[in-house]
Amino acid sequence: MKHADFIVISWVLSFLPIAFYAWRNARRARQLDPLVEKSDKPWT
Amino acid sequence: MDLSPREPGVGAAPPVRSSTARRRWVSIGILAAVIVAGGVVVTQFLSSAIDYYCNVDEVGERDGCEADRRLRVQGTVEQGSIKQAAGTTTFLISFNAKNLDVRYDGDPGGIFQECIPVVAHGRLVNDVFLSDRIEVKHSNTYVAKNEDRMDEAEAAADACSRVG
Amino acid sequence: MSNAQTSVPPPTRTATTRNLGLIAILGSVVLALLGLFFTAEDVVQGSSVRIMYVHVPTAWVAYLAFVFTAVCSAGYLRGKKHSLNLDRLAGASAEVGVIFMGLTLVTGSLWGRLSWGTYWDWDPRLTTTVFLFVTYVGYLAVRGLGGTQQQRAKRSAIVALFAVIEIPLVHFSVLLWRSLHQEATVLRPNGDVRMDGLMLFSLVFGVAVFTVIFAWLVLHRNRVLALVDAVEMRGIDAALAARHAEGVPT
Repeated sequence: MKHADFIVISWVLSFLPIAFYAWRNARRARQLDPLVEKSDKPWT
Repeated sequence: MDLSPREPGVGAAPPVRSSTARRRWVSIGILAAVIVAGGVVVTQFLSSAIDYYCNVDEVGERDGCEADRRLRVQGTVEQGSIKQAAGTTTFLISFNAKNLDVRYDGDPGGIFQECIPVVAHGRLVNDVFLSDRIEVKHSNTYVAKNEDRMDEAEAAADACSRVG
Repeated sequence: MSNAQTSVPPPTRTATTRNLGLIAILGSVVLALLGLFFTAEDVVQGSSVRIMYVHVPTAWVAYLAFVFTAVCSAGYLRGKKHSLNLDRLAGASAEVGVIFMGLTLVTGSLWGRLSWGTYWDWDPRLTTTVFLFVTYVGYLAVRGLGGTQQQRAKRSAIVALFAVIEIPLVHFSVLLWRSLHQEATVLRPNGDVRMDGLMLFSLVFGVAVFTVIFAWLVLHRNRVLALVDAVEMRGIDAALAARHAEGVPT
């Protein structure tokens, strides 16, 4: 691997897991939403 | 009172209950792995991480830096001492006015260069430190390249004086 | 889940999280421009210094996350109501902290290969950091052990208050023991920062961006955990109602 590859990989590896986590979290929220009432979501 | 569902498929309860039960076993598994990993890490900490290296002037002087055992020695690469021939790199490291000859089979990786502190792993044989691993211990000072800097020589001299 | 549903905003979104998300994305782009293009190379380290702009912020925000977990846990234990929302905030923060700490280890490993010449060594900073990481993976496992929600909250709050003690050990490990890892450049006891202007700005900017990302993730995660708890409670309620309907004495 070249020097620059390390740098690019480290940046990509920093943001990809965050994006994946956010995506999975949103998916879970959509799955659970039909099972709850509006009163379970005080932020809305 | 027993709240576990009797029939599979009563309302929304069963999938939730079964998923929490599965999650519980996964958690117990992870916890076991964590305890094992924690033990390994603590062992490594006590055997390796505390006092990661000996300085050049402490070899043969300080407790745990006996000359006849495998050592990690820290010192600054002397200016102009790096010689590379037939796949072997030799150089001089110094600390507190004491020098040590280092021989390394290969080309040290990282940002190895003169005037930079390194940690050499290896053994002392006939006053030459035969190293199989060189790690560059760079400083916590960051200086932008080519900013108000006249020439390479001045930068090199500055680097030597900074780490020295 | 079908793709069509992903176009609908998640039920955990509010105006706050949407704005935080936008700032996070915009900030990340600016940080990448600063870190990868506008900042100069380091005299000694060359371009590998560019890894610093993600390595250091993720480490600091992981610390911040674990401290926040401890604060919420203390709040839970001290509060008269024993607020489950504080417990869920603690859990969400620890999850994000574990992710960020993992990123710190990965980016640090790559940086280590470039500057030290090795991906890993059992040096004091690296060893204590991986111990902190493992501890919080354990904390998350403790959260999943089951029991009632109040049992979970109490159990994990106590673990969190013990775990947070490790943070000063990790941060000062480079001063306490001889280390391959360099000492702190910015968070130094004497306040003498040894870094060039734009580099320092980019680093501080990176910390700000990752802090926004942290807040954004924790808010969403906290709400998802609230949904999970609500579904669990509704499941129990449904079971209770079913028993009552059958005439089982309580």
